Amino acid sequence: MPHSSTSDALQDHLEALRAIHADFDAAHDESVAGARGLARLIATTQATRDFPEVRTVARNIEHVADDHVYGELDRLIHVLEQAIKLRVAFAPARGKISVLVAEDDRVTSSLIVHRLERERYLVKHVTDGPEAVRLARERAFDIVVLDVKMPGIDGFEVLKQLRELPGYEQTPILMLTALGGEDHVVRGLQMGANDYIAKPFSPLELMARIQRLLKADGS
Amino acid sequence: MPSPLSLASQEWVFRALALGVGILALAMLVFAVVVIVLRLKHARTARDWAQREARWEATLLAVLAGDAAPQSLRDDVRQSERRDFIEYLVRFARRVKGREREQLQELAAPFLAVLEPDLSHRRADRRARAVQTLGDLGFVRYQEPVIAALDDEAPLVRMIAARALTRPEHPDQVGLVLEKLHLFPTWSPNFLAAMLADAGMAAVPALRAALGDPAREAPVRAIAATALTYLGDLEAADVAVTVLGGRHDVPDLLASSLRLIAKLGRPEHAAAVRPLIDSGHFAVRAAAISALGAIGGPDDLAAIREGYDDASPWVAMHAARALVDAGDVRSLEEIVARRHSRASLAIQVLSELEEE
Repeated sequence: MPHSSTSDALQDHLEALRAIHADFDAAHDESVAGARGLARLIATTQATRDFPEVRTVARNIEHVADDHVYGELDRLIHVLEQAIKLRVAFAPARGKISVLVAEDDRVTSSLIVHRLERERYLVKHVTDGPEAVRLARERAFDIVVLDVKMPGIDGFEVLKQLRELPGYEQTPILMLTALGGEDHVVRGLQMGANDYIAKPFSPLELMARIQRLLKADGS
Repeated sequence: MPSPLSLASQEWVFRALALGVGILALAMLVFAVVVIVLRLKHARTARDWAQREARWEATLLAVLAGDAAPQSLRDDVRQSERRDFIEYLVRFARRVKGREREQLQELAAPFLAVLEPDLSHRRADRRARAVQTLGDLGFVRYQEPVIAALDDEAPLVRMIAARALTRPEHPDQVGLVLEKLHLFPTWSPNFLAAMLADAGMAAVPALRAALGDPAREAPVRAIAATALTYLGDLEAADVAVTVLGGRHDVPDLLASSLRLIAKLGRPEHAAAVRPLIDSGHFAVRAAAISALGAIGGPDDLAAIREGYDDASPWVAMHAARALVDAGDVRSLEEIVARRHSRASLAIQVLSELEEE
């Protein structure tokens, strides 16, 4: 039966997982094979495309020993539940381009967020590095705007961690830096940033760069 | 049995103590009340500020995005809020450039007069604040007092004025700041160079002129050289070469010019650099060796290797890095292999190379 929405598909997968989890017996090959088959399906289905963490946990089930499958099913159920919650939270904006803005300065972030929302982007704003990485793990964003100087971990470290996340290898990342020195710009670009903008910045220019990056990315 | 006199004396002491305790208790009470009042006042100020911010923010963002008229925000500023409004705009002005910055200046224009008395305030911090704000939001109208503040008696005000005059929006003022650099003797030359470089590439002609002018004070020329290095002005290397052929009694100027050549120079500049590896000043020798490592040829390798044995460890360190820049890592490996007395330096530089 075709799914009426991604959210429904995720819900169906969750229910199937719960059923397998309830009857799971590591001693039975069929039980283990059934769990692995469902995990494989979840790792490749279109419905989990925006949820890299779900896919990672699901893929992992293929590789763990039989007696660890049960624990991994537990984990998969948990991340799938989180994904469904997020999908519901983002549902009204489905079809919009999502932007993760990681910037700790209130004035700068208000300027950026206002411009992006005005252009009808779906914006998620965080004020520190660890939160940016956590959110990026939970769901895929179409573009990331990343400040270099942030509490917790700095923008370079966030950039490095994002690039290691499945699904973020090609995501456009634009760095914002108050450190105008070319060393920082070069470092950011070498670490995989797609572009940078130096503060003080022009919000108009920032928007133009975001649009250019998205166009190049095909979003 | 105690004597009546003794009893009277004890009573007097008791009363004095009671009075003392009473006074202390009263003082504590007054102190506590003052603390509570100040705290309440502070909380109220913070709350008022937050309310004002919330009231202005949505309109300001709409004005900056071109969705609302500037007057709609100005109409929302009461007479008593003019200073707060300017303060609020400054926070945005420092974070943006281009059209948005101009819009903020336009928004602030009718309110800036409220700061004029502060330009001659007896407190230096008030004068500095006024110079900074007027420089940020009303430079065209207030450039005269901002320039005059370069000669203020307070170093803080002078520095704020210099920073206001070295912005990319008005790079033509950089020459003026260069003229007054002697007023900042205690500031680091690198900081002053970075401040001048903040004015951007449009300031390059004034900086090049300062570097190449033998009549200028050497420290000013050295700072100009560093600013040009920060700006990455390739043509400045030609000017720096002329400095090398001039006075040799000013090591800071020579070293700054050599650092510029190391970063931005070309192989044809190496001939002017070579004589300086024998300079009497270690900083000049070090900078000359670095420059040769960057732009020199195979014939310069021997001189760089000799620099590794220089009496100054500073020169030796630059020589080690220059060998890497010149592509002669093998020499460093040999130094390690033959357990040179400075082998640890070569090991350090080689390990840095591996980390890269």
